[in-house]
Amino acid sequence: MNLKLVYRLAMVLVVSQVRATRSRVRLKSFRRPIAIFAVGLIAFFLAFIFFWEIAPAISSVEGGGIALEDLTRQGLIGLPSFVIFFTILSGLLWELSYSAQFSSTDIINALPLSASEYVLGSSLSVAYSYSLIPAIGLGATLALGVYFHSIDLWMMTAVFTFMGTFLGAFVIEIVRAVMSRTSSAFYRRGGRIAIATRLIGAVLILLAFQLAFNYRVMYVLLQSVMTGITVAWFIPVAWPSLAVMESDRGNYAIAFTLAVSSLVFMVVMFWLSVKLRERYWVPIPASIRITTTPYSPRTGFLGRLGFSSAESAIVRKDLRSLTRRREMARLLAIPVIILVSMLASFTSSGGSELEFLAFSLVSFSLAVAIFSLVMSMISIGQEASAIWNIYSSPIAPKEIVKAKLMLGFLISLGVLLVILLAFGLLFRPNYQVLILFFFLGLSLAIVETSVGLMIGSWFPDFGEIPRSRFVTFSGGFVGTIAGLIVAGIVGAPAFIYAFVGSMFQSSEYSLAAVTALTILLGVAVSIIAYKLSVLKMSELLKELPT
Amino acid sequence: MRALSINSVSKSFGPVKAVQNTSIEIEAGKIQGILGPNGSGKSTTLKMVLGMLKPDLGSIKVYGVDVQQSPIEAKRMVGYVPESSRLYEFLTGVEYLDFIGDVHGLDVETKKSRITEFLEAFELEGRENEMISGYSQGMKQKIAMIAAFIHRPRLLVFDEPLNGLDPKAARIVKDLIHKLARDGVTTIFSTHILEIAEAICDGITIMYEGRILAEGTMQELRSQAGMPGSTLEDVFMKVTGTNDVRSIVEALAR
Repeated sequence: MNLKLVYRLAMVLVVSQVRATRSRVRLKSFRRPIAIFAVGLIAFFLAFIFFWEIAPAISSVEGGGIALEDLTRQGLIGLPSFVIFFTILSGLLWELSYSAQFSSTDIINALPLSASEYVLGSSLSVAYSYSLIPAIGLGATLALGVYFHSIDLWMMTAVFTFMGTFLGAFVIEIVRAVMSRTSSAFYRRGGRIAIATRLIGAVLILLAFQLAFNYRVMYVLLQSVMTGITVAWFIPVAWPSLAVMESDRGNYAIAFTLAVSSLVFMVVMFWLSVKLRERYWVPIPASIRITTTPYSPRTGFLGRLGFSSAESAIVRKDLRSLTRRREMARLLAIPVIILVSMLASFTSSGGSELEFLAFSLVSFSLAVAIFSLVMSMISIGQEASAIWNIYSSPIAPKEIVKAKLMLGFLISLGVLLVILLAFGLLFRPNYQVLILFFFLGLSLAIVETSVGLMIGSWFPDFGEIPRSRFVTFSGGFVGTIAGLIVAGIVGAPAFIYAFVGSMFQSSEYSLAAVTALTILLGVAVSIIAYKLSVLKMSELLKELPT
Repeated sequence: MRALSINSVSKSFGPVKAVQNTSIEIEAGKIQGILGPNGSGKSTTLKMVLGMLKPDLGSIKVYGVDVQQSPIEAKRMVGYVPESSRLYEFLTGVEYLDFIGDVHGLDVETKKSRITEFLEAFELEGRENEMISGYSQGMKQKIAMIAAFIHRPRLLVFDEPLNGLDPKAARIVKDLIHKLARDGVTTIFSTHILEIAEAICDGITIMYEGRILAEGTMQELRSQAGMPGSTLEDVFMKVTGTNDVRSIVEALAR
């Protein structure tokens, strides 16, 4: 293996990513790979200083010292496993978006580069790109570790955190290859059923990987079949954290065994990703026949609802984009991943009925809100380099906004109904809860779709190389904050009703009032977001991005 | 009637002056070719005609409609094929054309008959239900070409239109442009294939470093260059100052 080549490849991937995601940043230094390192270093020191300063203050409070020391241990032990989870989750959401078209025609396929060199280079770039969170974690735990004289433990945590980042990156490479293989297999079959099966398959693969590397979920699953045994020992992603824990307890032999096992597991993941890359290196673009029926255009359902032919055409096109593009499957997996992870975590922690209602309401709201937000946030950038089709067509900004909103809302509504049905069947709540959830979900779907579109037309990312992100990094950040704020505003009446109301024996009258208020808030925020979306879209359409 | 008026248009991208004070006038039913080496401003000019890029200075009118003031109205009259036509790869050929037909507001019957007719002419029948991602470059170009013709535009804007087309399809496009010109449809296109420009264009504009170096019919260009009886290639080489090819080849072969 040529390590110099690995490094060069990793840097090329990082440079492409940095330039693609920070093209609007004026300061040139921020568009260089070193900026990631610099930001990470600054974050490390800031986290260190912050925790170094607050540690004495917390310790001076009665019981504070013990609590903080306990928290420090948990942080030092938990960080490696958290970093693995974080890298995989971020990777599943953002690193799998390389379009099939580019992965088959990529110049990298024609270069004399081995599979192991590619995998290592690509993983290095992923690990480097996601170094900010480990840097913050390490800075914070170093301050606390020094304060509580646990520097030896911190050093072990640092090593395992570093390993964890790479382990996560190797898993991403495995998922990439598996997804590529699955796509090709289903594509070769052709037809609409194959497309639908492929989509469901992709969502299930993403979910399976996410759950397999989710420590808590694995813990719950294993606990149910292995009572009386320390189940965490059977979860490889927990080994780095367990090694730190056993070392802290003075069980050095066990700690050493776990450390070696972690290393072996990482090597196995690397080997597996190389083997899969070797086997499914270049996805061959197959000729996929969708149907054999002759072309027969019809006035669609939206046309009958009063949508113009251009608006209906955009809705149909985007729906096909969502169901047929490999890089879009991850988005459909979002609500499933959030709900399953949160419910699994809740099940493992137990709790009262009121806590369960609170937890369900939060999980449900988050799943609907995040899904609607993400779906519409990416709706402009997903046009990618085919955006010229929109620029050269006689389509008004308002038509695009209406079409994108309609599709985002329709899909969110579908997801909302599925989640509600699953929730109703699994937990059998009373009808009041179901009504509340339905209208809250509906309002969230409308409002988040509108806010998402506003962000999407403000911060679109049409780049496809090295990865399609559809929305810029700043857009993603601003959108998430804006989405959470509006979710809080729209959800406030429901939350107050659910908790304060239940304490005061709420009536049907107050349920109706809360529902009306939720809808009113949703509509108000949506109108503002809609107006801003049209404004931003008009600005965007003035000139093709260069 | 004037189909296209490009009036003193300039466009810069940062420090790069892509197009400088360029004016082109084309009468309805004429075929105008734009020639020039890479980076001479041809594609930028064509994108401004479509309103996809905003000129820093100057104005552009399509059949009297200001592209900046009324972009939608102007785009309705234009059919465009870009240099590298990235289509929606996840759609099938027929779905893409159906999309373009809807965007231009064609009714169901018109859309069906035109799509069927063009698919047959370009020998794509039987492949129309396959996803574009599986098409060859030439097939994609054919789809882009059909999309430009489908709404019967009054102005055709083609950036390297014959890229990747097989000889038969290229011939169809050339003949179709001629036929449409007789019906009053105007065409402006950029090309590197000088023989094609010489064969089908009524007028030729030669651009270099964002400026127009020469403009006119073949006859006018020959006389401007002082090269009567010469080919367009010779005129082009002389006008753009790129006639030192032999010394370059010799240096490269060393």
